[in-house]
Amino acid sequence: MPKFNPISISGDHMQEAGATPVLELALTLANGLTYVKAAQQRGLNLDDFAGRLSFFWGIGMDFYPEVAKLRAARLLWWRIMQKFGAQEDKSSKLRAHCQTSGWSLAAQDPYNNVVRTTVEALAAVFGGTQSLHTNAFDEAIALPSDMSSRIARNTQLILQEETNITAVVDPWGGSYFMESLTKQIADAAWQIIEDIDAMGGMIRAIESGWVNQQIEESAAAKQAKIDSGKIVIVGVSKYRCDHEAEQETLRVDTTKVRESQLQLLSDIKAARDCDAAREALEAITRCGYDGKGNLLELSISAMKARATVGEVSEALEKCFGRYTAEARLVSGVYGPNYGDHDHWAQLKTRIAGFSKRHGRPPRVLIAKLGQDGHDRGAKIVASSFADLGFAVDIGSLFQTAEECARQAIENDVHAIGVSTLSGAHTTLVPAMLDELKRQGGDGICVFVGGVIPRQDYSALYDSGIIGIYGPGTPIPDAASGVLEGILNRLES
Amino acid sequence: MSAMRDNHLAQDLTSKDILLRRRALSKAITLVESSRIDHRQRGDELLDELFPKAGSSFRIGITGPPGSGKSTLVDAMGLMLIEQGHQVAVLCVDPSSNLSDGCVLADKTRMHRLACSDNAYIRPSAGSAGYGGVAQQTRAAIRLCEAAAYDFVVVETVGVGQNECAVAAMTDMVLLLQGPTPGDDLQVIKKGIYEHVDLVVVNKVDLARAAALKAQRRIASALRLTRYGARHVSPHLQPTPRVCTVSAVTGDGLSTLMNSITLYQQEEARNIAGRRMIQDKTWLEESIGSQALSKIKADEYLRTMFNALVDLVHAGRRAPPAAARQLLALVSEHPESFAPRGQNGATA
Ligand code: B12
Ligand SMILES: Nc1nc2c(ncn2[C@@H]2O[C@H](COP(=O)(O)OP(=O)(O)OP(=O)(O)O)[C@@H](O)[C@H]2O)c(=O)[nH]1
Ligand SMILES: [Mg+2]
Repeated sequence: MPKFNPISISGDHMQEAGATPVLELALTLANGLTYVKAAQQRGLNLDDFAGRLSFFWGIGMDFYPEVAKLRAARLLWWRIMQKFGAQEDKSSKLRAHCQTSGWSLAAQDPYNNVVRTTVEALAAVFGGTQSLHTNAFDEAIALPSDMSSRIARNTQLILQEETNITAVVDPWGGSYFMESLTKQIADAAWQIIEDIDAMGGMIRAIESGWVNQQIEESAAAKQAKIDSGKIVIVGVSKYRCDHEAEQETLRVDTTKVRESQLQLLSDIKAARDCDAAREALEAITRCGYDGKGNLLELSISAMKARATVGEVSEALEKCFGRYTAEARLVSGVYGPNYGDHDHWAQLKTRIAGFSKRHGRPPRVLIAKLGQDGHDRGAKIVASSFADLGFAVDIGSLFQTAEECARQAIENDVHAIGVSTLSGAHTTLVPAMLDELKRQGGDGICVFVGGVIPRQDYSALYDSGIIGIYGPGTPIPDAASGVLEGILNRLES
Repeated sequence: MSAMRDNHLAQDLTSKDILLRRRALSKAITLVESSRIDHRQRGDELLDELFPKAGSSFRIGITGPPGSGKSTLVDAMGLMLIEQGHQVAVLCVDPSSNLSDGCVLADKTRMHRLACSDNAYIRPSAGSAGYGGVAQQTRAAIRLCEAAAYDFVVVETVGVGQNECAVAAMTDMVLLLQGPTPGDDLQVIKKGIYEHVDLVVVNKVDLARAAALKAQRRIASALRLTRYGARHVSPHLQPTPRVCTVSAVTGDGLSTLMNSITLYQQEEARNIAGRRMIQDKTWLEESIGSQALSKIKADEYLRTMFNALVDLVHAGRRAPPAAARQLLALVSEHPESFAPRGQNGATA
């Protein structure tokens, strides 16, 4: 398989969703070996493809473990590939791309993020990454501007061309501390890989919800430790800046983007040979059902006939169905990790008081609208709100404005909390408010959380939003604001 | 004030406008679930007003261990029922969650298609320490759905051993759902859960067909030892399968399951009517409370009143909670009948 990269086996998205470095390492390698097995089952010869696999790690702020993680990854992959019986050296070598963590970057005092990204980039380089993605300092605010992207790129260039840091392979090799940390991390990850094997493999582990649960527990615990001050984030949980200047950010007109994309699609459909496209799509569905042929090959020919990504997905969906994300939530993780704080207990008491006074707990629908798969925040909010005593309804991922409003009315919630990170809030939130009104649910309070640039606040408030909670909001503050908003609405 | 508002509620709840009806039904269910005394009162009165319009649905309970696929199956079944022209209401109750602990209600994410249908209504409820417990609130919610013109009501509840019995006490038919692995049914057999179940469904055949078929045989023979054994030797043999295998995801076996339900509905019509009479009387008795009830039974006048109200309930003219209120008011108007007989004479 010369010069063809069939897959980038990713751990980054799991770390960004909340996994610790050890968990990320274990889950990613477990995924990797599952791919290898699948390729072998299809009759591929191990040494023909193994050398072309590559990995993708996230690199967070915990410096030494991140360096050690990359070293441990190479060790363990070699071990795994030896077990598979790899003959060629290349097959057992782990190639990796790394991305510095976007989650670690704050919306508050954003220039601090340049420093964070530099430290993370350094860990990736020390750990021996083959390629690197550094994030822009306005990561938690909007898509990067030209200026912030330039600095992100220059961070790499400075490391590469000014410092000679890249001149040495494995500069930490031989350090007693780093070698023993590497072994610790490798052992801990290996244990998890064996546990997964005992569960019947990674596919079973994913289907059972175990994998998500591990990641979400770790995410909730981390959030609780930040909110309670056990983990320090400069400018967020400590050393806050009093007068923050508003950040100039890239502005995207989401309505226009949508229109131009729709136009593009209809142009393509008007210009193509529709019969050819339809036949190519039908061939995909047929192959899905009877297993005769190669789906990738058929998808490529469908695309050559100008079928769209959506149409190809639909053709596949006909026989394989659509994946819906598991909505089981972790519970009782945030509360205990937050620890014994008076205001946590007071908040619980206030919520219990609400339940008594109003005959039921404050009921909130936590919703995700549109094509936005960022569910880390929504899940943490939902699970910690439930720990506090709220009755929490969960909306499906990718809900439409209409579905969301309907669910809120049917479940008779006091409030909807929309978690929005995709940048579509200026279109989708007002659309949802209109739907609420149309369906008779205008008594329901609406709150918004997620990545929302300051410039959009006033428009959102004007459309009728009660509160906005951006990145870095401690959960108790959000909960107390939502409770207050509901009470005001009920009493007026 | 509140009476007027609830007047609207009753009107809206039976309105032709789907948006009005849905919203009113939601508000009404909140009232009957509330733990506040004034809400209860209003909820009971509303239910009493709407009661004559309720009663015309088929009520089916779906229970089974967490993750066995209940919500996924309800989604698939619901769509088929709607295709047959039904209006489907789904009540998801989780009695294990507790009012003060907060809770997460996520079943709807597994009923995505049904949740979007105009002919469906789905309401997840938090179990609460409120009025009368989950069972009473759900009974009331079922009637409210019926008054709002839903003619097929599904109650989904996690099966943990006791809930099967509670669901059986408020529905016409109980489906027990389980996975194909042997552990799933051994426990169930031990706990005697099958006694309350009218149809066992082994789900997820797509994952393990052979294991599912084995489970089907294993359960069928276990069932022969329970109340079904008696029916099997009795003259009116039932042609419907007692144990189905399905895949809620692929739809495999679904139409057989639906047929079994329809057959049950037809063949058991007599038994269902009897079952409902018992259920409604129990509902009334539970609303009265065991202490007051024993006093009522001991007093001739109150007993007569009780029997009259039971008849009204059975005729569909009075709702048990409101009927119970009326009786309790009578009880407090006749305090002397409260006292044990012997003492009565002594103080006079
Ligand atoms: C983690 C992350 C991911 C993970 C998501 C993992 C997961 N399962 O959630 C991965 C790696 C998969 C991912 C993918 C992508 N991402 Co991303 N991602 C992020 C990142 C780095 C952090 C988000 C996060 O989880 N933060 C931690 C949680 C706890 O915080 P939070 O969600 O903000 O929630 C807090 C508050 O906002 C508030 N809150 C949130 N919701 C609610 C709701 C209520 C009711 C209340 C009261 C409060 C509240 O309370 C929470 C606690 O403080 C952000 C940047 C950033 N730093 O914010 C980009 C970001 C959101 N991603 C972005 C993009 C572009 C993408 C991709 C499109 C990239 C790509 N080209 O593939 C994909 C799209 C994925 C998809 N299907 O939607 C952009 C969005 C741009 C925009 N808005 O204009 C961002 C802003 C980065 C950037 N600047 O470019 N991403
Ligand atoms: N393969 C397969 N998976 C199924 C089937 N039915 C349900 N599932 C999966 O099983 C998991 C649980 O399904 P739910 O429908 O949420 O189960 P439930 O019994 O309602 O769960 P709780 O309400 O949490 O008790 C989901 O991941 C479903 O996709 C089936 O027939 N086949
Ligand atoms: Mg369910």
